[in-house]
Amino acid sequence: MKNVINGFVFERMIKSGLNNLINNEKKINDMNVFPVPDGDTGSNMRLTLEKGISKTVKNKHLGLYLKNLSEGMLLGARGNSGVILSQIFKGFYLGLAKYGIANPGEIRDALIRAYKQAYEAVLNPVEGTILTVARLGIENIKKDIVGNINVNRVFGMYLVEMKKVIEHTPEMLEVLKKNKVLDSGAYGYICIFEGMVKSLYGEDVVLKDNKSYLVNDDDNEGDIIFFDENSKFIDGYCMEFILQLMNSKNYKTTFNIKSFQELLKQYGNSIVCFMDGTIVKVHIHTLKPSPIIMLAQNYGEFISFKLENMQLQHNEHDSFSIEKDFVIVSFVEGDGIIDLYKDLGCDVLIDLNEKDKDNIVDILRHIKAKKILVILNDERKQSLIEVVLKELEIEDITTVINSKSMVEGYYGLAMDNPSNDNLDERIDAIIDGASYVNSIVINDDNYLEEFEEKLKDIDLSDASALFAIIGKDVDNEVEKNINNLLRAYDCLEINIIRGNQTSSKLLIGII
Amino acid sequence: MDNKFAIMADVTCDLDEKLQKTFGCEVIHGHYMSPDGVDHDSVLDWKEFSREEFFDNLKKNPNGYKTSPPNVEECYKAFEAHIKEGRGVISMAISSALSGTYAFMIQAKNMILEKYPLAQIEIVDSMRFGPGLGLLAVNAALKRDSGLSFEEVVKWINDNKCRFHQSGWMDDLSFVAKKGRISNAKAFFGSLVGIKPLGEFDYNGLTTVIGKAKGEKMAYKVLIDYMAAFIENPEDQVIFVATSNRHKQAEVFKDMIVDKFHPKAIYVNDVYPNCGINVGPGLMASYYIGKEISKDLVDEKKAMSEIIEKNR
Repeated sequence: MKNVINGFVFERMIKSGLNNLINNEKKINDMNVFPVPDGDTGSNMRLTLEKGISKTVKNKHLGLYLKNLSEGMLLGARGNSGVILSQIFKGFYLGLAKYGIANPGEIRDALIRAYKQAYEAVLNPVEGTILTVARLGIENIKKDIVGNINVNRVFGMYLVEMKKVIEHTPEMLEVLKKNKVLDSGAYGYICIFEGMVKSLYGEDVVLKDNKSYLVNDDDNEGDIIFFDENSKFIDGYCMEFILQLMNSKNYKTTFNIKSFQELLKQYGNSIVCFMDGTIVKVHIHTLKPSPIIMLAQNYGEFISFKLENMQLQHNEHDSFSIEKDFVIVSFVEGDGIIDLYKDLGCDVLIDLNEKDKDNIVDILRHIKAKKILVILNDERKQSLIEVVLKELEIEDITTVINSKSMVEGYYGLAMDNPSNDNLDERIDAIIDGASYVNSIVINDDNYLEEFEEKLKDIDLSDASALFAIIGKDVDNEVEKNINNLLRAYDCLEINIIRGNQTSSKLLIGII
Repeated sequence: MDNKFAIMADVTCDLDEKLQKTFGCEVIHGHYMSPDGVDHDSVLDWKEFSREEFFDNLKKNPNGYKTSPPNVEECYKAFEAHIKEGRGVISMAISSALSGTYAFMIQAKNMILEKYPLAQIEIVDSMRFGPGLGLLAVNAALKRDSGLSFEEVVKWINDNKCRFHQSGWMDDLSFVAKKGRISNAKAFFGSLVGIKPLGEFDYNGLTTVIGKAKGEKMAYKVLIDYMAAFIENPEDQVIFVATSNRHKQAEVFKDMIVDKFHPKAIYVNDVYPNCGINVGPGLMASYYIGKEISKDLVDEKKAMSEIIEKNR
């Protein structure tokens, strides 16, 4: 444990902090909803800190090391979060400028000066953000930083306190609550200090994968949707924490690692638990986390804590209900076409091959809406849907578009304007779009000949765009063949995608 | 520079070097990050990448590019270069509804006033972005050159900024949607083949889709009719037709505007990386001064519905 830190120690700490930030960069970007939801908080904080570190030179004198770091960060600040971060570090530097080494009291004062500098520099300080965690992180613990406390403890307490504070940020900032996220800047700031604290405890964070922020990992996008009030909770939580045993809790007289491990077995399984000095590391799967938290807090406080709901991956198909003013239902098939319809805002997708009335009733039963629009994409479904609507008694609120093919339905959705509050106008626009398109369905294996034959009935010279959706297992030459066939029409906007539908070889829409 | 005060705007204004020289404006550069995590200065030319190369790469990896505005220190340095020479500064920022640039410029202004208490410096929230901001800066410079004082130019900008319209299409809205630069963002992720969503600035500078046209031909007609309904004194105006990667269409649209409105001057402008990352390759729009944009776009939406119905 360190009673003071110098420039060398801080350099290791801040580099570990940067690595921890980079390891979490993608996650932080995804959390970014305030002030502008442009998904770049993590990247901006990284670029800012990277620039700061790149301007440093090895220096045992803490103040001189921080001077270069701070100046580099101010010049290299990126985005709102980067500017605030650079101001916090400027304040931290100013607090320690004259110190070659710093003790706990000096670090406490510098952390106070750090947040004050940031509040002064920001035009309209908003609570619930990085500013709040930096302020309350130190204000809530400053009275405890007295006497024989060491530097590790100061940074550890600061980190733990900030982790508590961030949990309350959604109560302070409505946009966070609405999006069910914590503030991304605050989270990034905590990541930096988590890395710094780990370094103090000899566990410097290394880069997991220095390109991790480039990966478009959208696996968890649906988590919120797939765990709701009707879900069955049987898989439990994965809990991991690092516990700092504390003298104030009499750990020396009451704590025994073996007894602790035995107690944990009562609450869960998949347990890994070991002790390293005065640190205890725990991994456990449990249905009830609270007794474990209480047990651990008998002996110390958490340096880091992670709790994940393991149920989320399993519930994708368990529950389905939709409640909106206006719900659009479409009959579709083919993964490419399904993606297309989803992107255009279609709420409910039913397999185009679904013929069982009861199955369709079962799906539509879960919709609660003022108006429903059903896009059939197959004329033969008309009588079937009439029976379904009658059985559910939703004929009055439902409009059916009797489109002949999925490309007609596509053009209907493409003409929808979700910004329009007038639902009748939206429905009219969708009907207009679906009826305006000239659609061709090609089923022949010799698709090119059939396409050429059918094109004879259409005046392409007056058309603006041609959309070709290619069916499953159609050869790879198809795009080239279509482009060759249409090469004379250079004003035509041509777009060809793989729809992978099985009901046709080619679906063509011309407008 | 012999101007009595500088007219500046952040890099999202997309005024390239030639336009800056022509009108006597200055741009404060920002930054963008490419998919390899590298930070670039946002310059307003195509020396590092060709336009086609850039937009092709952007289309392949739309989530990989990120932009950030000039930071406080950079704004400070840009302002100080004029202030220490005794020139005033009017600096316009992209709408504060879209970016933190305005706040950074205000912080930089406060730092300037600490060091130079008598400095003449004003920061304006343009409530616009992209070429709309660029055209606002150009008009401010024209007002300065016509003899208006520093205070008069600031007043003119504030009185007129919500008269700057955008009439055009973005044929892939997912870019603006992902960056939160469109109203009702979640609804606009799908690709639209041949359908042209027609956008206008709302009061705060967010692009809002106020109608859709089936194909380019109909879109041109609707846009010209829409411009006719809102433009004021076109013969006295400089009009911009800006495009990210639809230059052929922009030239067609420009010719139609010249035929119909006979503007004093018209320019086809490029949309460069900093703005391009946020609007994607499919922007093609005109920028001009007209009637003040109504709150919630009530008048504009009504006019657009009628024009689309007429051209159906």
